[in-house]
Amino acid sequence: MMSDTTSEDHYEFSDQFDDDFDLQDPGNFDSDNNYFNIVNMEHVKASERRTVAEIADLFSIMVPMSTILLMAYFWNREKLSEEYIEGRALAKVGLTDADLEVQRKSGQKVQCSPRTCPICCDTYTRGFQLACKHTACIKCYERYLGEKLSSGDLLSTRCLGQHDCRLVATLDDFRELSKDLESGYLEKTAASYLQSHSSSFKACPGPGCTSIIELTSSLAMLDLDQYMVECSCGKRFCLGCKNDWHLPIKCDLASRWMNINGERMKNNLWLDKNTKPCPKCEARIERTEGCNHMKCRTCHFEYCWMCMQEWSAHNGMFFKCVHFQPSAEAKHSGRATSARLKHYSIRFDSNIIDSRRDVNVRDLTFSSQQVLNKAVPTLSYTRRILAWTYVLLFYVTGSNQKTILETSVSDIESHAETLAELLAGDEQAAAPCLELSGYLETRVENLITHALETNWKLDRNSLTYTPS
Amino acid sequence: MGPKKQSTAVKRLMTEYKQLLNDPPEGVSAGPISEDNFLEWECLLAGPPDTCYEGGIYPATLTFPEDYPLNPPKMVFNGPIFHPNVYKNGEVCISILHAPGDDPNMYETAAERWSPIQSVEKILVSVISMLAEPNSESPANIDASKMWRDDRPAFEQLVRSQILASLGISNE
Repeated sequence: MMSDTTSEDHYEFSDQFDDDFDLQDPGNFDSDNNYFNIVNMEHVKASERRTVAEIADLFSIMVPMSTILLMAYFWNREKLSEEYIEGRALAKVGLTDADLEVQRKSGQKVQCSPRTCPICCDTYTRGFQLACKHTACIKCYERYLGEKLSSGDLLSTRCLGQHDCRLVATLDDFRELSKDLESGYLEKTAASYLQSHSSSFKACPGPGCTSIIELTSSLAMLDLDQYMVECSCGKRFCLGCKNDWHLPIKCDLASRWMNINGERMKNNLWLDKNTKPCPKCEARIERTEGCNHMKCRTCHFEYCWMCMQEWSAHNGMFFKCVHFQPSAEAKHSGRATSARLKHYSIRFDSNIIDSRRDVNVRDLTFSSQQVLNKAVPTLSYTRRILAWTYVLLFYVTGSNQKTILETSVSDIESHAETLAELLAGDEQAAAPCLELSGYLETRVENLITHALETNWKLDRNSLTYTPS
Repeated sequence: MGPKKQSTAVKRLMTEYKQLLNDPPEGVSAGPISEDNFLEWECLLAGPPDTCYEGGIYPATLTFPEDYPLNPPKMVFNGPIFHPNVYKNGEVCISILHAPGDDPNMYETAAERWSPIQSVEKILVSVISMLAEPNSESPANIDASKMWRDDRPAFEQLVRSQILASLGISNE
């Protein structure tokens, strides 16, 4: 599991290649296995184009229409094919078979004698029309489609010329209008493709990074919350929740911790106040208006905004939420938990801080490359694991397993301290440094395995703690 | 009108107002509250005949966004109205008042959503038909929705007594 400490070398090496497609991070995996690739947006777009072309071929429709249908079906080819054959797919985007024939042609700019635009009521001579030939002024079309692009809604870009016309502006029409609209459209369809394939593509959350982690099918099937990757930009994150690394604990506990420990509150204050994650796919959803019957745009899951449970479970009571109860978290608090929280968060914070600081030791005294490349990253990694192990200790209730974990933690911590002292000392100590980091690697690896494989009993008080 | 250049929203609303004056749809009247602010309209809707809303006169306010007609206005009834698709604060919840994508049931009936080629007239006509035929699939008032489904006579009784109260006539 823990070949992480050597990843620095691999990166310096692989950075020499320009071909992003084959970058392989050893991270948490055996380097022989192809668990994932680091790719860029062009790679995703190519994959999107293949899908669109396949569907266009299959049903002998135009590529732009294939794109719209796929987006309406969240890129679920099987469901689209099934409903297309049953004749239900077009209705989903408000079209009929006859419309589909008309839509084979793209729209066009037209020059006409002065007339009044039905949208802005100004007089115009330069108009635009979809294949239906209903005209509105070109400025209104540009403004309307520009607005549709920025709201990301490409499925209801309807004809502006006549109110009962069903035609939809497609990629071809965007292209006819302007280069900017065309490229905006392509960006949005790619983003839609990416979002609908979130189980196999993970955009790197690193600041300014545009890389995407593409998981191979074997990994996409696994429980991702114990897989941590390092992107080519150097950002390390968890594949499950895209937050920073949190081995040896899983995403749910880590995210609870981030909440109560205040870090996430600071960063995501607005999100927490205004949105709730979809109970199925965790996409952040803001409800601006409407009823409690919610349907997630990302995964189509229908649920109740009050209790966050599946909508179909409400049948009996007819739109009255029976599941909602005031959060159990609001009921519990208590001084004992508060003191425990303080105890563990001090240990968590100091390990995180040390882990960041340790990485900077390298430019101090050591000249031995071997020590720099092995001992320093090991120490930093160990601190991080220790930090998150303290979080686990906060959440789990007393048991033999917890005692074993505590013993490992204190042993690892004292050895890590020794290593830190050696690293800060003189370079004669290279051999003990390497020996110690070898020891730490083994111990940490065992600790991770133990933490991940144990079926922990969670401590009720810790789980329900809310900071006042 | 001041020296400020007329916005697209105002120009368009003036045109719509003129059309509504010349050719108003059955049972509605609507127009800006003041000449100074075209983004705020007042309307009166007559409860459609042969429904329990018949005889009721329902005043409502339409509030238009600055970027109208790109986005739809909001519509709020000013007096009490018991209806499955009207929130208790009077806000109307029907598909034509939703921008596409704004709505949990998006795209199921994409053609009924707001688009710039729709108009105030289309909205008012939709609201009248909403009064005649409530849509219990997306209720805004859960109590009303439940009563409408489970106990239609009680529902109609309640609506009628609201109308009588609004006319200053006691039901007792």
